[in-house]
Amino acid sequence: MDSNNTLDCDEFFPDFIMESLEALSEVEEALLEIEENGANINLDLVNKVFRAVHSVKGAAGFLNLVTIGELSHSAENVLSLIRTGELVPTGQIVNELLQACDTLTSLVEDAKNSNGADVLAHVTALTTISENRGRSSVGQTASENQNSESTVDAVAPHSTVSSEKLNDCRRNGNEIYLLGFDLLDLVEYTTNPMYLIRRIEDVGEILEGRLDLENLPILGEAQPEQLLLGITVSTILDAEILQRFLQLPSENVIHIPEGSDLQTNEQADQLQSDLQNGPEKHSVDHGLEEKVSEGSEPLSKQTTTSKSKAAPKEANIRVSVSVIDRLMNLAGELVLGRNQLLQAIAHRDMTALELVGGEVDQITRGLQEMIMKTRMQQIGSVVNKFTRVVRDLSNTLNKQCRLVIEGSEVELDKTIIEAIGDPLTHLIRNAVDHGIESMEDRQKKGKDVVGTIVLNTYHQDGKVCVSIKDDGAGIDPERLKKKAIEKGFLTEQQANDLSKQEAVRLIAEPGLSTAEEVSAVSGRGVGMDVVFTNFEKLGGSVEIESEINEGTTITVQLPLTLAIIPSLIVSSGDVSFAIPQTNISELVRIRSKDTHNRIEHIKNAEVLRLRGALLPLVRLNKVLGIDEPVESDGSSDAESDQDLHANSAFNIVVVETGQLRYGLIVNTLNDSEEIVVKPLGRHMQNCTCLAGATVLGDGRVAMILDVSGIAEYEKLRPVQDKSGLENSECGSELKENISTLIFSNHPKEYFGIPMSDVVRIERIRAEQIDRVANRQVLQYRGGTLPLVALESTISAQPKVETAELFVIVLNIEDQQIGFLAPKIIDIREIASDLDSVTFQEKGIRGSTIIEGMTVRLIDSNGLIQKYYSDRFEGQTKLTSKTESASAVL
Amino acid sequence: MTTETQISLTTECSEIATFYLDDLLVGIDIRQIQEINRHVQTTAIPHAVSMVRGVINLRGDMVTVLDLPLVLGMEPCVITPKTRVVIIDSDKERTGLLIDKISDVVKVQSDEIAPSPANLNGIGNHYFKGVVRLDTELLAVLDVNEILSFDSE
Repeated sequence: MDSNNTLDCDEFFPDFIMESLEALSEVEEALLEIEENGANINLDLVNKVFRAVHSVKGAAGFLNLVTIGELSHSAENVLSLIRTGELVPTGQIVNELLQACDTLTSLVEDAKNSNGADVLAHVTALTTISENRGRSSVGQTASENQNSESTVDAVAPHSTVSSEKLNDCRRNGNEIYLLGFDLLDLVEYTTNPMYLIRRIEDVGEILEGRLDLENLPILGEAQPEQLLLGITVSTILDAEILQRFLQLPSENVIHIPEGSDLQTNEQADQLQSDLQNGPEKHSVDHGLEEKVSEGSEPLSKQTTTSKSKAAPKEANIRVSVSVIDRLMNLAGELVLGRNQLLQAIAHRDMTALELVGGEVDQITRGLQEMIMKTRMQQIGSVVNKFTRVVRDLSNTLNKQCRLVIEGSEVELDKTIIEAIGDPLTHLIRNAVDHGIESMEDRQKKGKDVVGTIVLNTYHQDGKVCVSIKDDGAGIDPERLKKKAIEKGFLTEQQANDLSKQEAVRLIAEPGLSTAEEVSAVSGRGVGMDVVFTNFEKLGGSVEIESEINEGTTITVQLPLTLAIIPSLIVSSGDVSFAIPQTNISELVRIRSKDTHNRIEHIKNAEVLRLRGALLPLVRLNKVLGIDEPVESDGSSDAESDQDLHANSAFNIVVVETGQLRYGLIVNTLNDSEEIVVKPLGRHMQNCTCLAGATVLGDGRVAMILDVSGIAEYEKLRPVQDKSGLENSECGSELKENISTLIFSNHPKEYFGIPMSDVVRIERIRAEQIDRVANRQVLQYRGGTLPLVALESTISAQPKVETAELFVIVLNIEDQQIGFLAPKIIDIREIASDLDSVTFQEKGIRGSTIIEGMTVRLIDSNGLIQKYYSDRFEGQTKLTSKTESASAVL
Repeated sequence: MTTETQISLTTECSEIATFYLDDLLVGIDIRQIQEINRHVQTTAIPHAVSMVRGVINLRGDMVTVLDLPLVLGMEPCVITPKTRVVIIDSDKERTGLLIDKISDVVKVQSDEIAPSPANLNGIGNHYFKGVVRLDTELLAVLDVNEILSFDSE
């Protein structure tokens, strides 16, 4: 590497890299547009690309970046042919150009080490394109064949190497090859033929070199089309490797088998013509192979890029001059403010102090906003690249996809913009690979053959949402469940209990992939969970909605910025901690007298019973090894749960990380505050429970908790509910969990109503109930709501008369009716299996046991029918329906 | 705190800020010290090794504070009104070192620094660059990089 020559230009490198990358990113967009236009060449676009590539080439030349120069030069050649109209930009040509641009981009990114990188493949491909102009446009592929044929032919028949020498080489295990080069080609891509010679000598011995003398140009004459050089090589490599190593087309490498010499090598001739019969096919195959191998490493590629991103790299950002000017103004103001502040302090002048304080406050806020503005970038810089991703992928997969990008002007913080690129690419890839069906399938289903992927970015609730919507096959929850059972993630029972939404979310489970076979693009099942965790690390969340045969929508919610995050400040002992709001799903406070009902123990681990689900609990001070605060009245023996916080309430912060929810027991909940994240130093890298530190409003330092880190540290796993919902054996036609409102009529009798029936719950005073014509009704929203007391309809103990009670408003077959309930207990998920034998009665669906309470589940329909038929014997349901309907009106 | 004399990089003379750890006099090359302050009230870090005393808020930056005596294998630092934090700027990260008491800044010619004895007050000698014999006592010059990359065992 001749980095010595480049060292003195060090200061230009950052500028070169930045400008070149900018130019190249424009090139990509323009190229795609050029391809779309096909033969209608838009000269402006071509010129734009040409100029960009040219300027990269120029700058590279100045900085002595040979490889970059070489590659951009050959790309430029092709472009200039397109510009002059000599070449029609077909898909293949644009492909080559795009690939060359990709390579160029990666070379430029690491410009200092770019010299000596292997770009021959691109250069050859591009050179072939520019060589083949005219022909490809006229369509004379035959002449091309003849041409390449002559490459070897012309130099083959006049060898002077003795057969002894050849045999000698063969005895040493070497093979003899005849290589054909076109010197004019060589001059195009390597300024120095010695380079080629050395490269050959690296792998073998050059026995002979011959020039096609008949074709030598005479000075002043027009240049010949080819200048042939034949080189006989003895090497240990096989033909294919040699051909790849030297980037030669296969027809230009001829193996001279044993027993033949160079003069009379019929076999070689034969071989040669064989090869030439199908050179087109060969090159196409080769291209495909390359594509596949390229496609098969997206993951490894991604990891390497993310690694290189992780390495400290000076990044640049472009800020408009006006923003800088305003920043400058504000900085000036701030200095003035400080001077006044110091003066006011010196004079102990309270009024002046207040005045200045307010001013400084305003300036600081302005400054903060302005600085944040410099960090905001349009999401377009990320999403616009996807046009290319979709195009390339659908070509590889032989599908037709269209990407519609909306809202690319939405602005996001720079750090987020940088971080979402990879996971979003993954989602887009998935949409093309798994989402959109093959053209035939789409035709069969009667869909538009061209699949559509809509990438929409918009603001919502102070967050930025990116949704990726495809109109493809959708995710089949049943298949996911099956797969999950197969791989042992779930038992059959668990799988059956999953709602459709939950089942679709299984796709984020590591190791699960719905793809029937692993394709080059995706299907290994490592992708989605990585994508999800990546977004979650950014403080975002992911939602999946999917309908079979209608498509999948994945919505990612992202915070506007990472630098400042809203957090809840909690304390444990007398140390403060911050928990990012995005991790918090709810706060639960349990009075000490309820602890025994609500907090249970499974193998020494505490769990919280929350709406029927079990949440693992973590005591923050135990995790972090902080002493119990003094208030907990001496009984600091944390092991004996009897004494634990005997007289204090539990504050539980229910946090969510990925698929795991757990409760964090803290001593006190303080304010929520917007905090600025500061990284912790290198000595604390092993503290996985902490995500960083922050300075609170009062100047104290608080640690930011890493919710997933704590879960990892505690080795938390979701609790499988086994003890609570003791499902009876009796089968039931119900399959899913029912979200059920549980209330009691008589204090000892519990009932449940499916939440799907419940419209509202009203709290009323007993005297509000009107008794009209032996019926209880309630004036409700300008109408009359018939009220049902359970004991009057089904066998139940009468309710205790209380001053206040609840009315559960139901909506059955478009009529509203109210159930009287003295006490509402909770909303629980009730398992599908109900005991339908023990309490057989009309209006009761069955019973189940929840935490020791026998709960009868009400069949609302049946109960109402019974209610009306009891009242008005003989009357049909129809009349009752109209009656109560009019009552509602 | 620092002296106004300009240190010329060409001479082999360096200035060393000296401190007491208990009664051991140690020194750090003044060019490696950003400042010395009184931010001794640290916020403890759960799960951190014992040598990490905590972090302080140094004008908006989190600075890790190490218990220097403990790193060197001595008794942990006891906070007194004389305790100071020496802020070291190294490797793009600032780290604070707790010391018991500050002392002088001394000028030392590089040839005055003798290799440290194998065992200095029971402290492994890889933490020291060498010792300097001052008029009244022995000054141990600390190797800051070694200290910052201390082995927590």
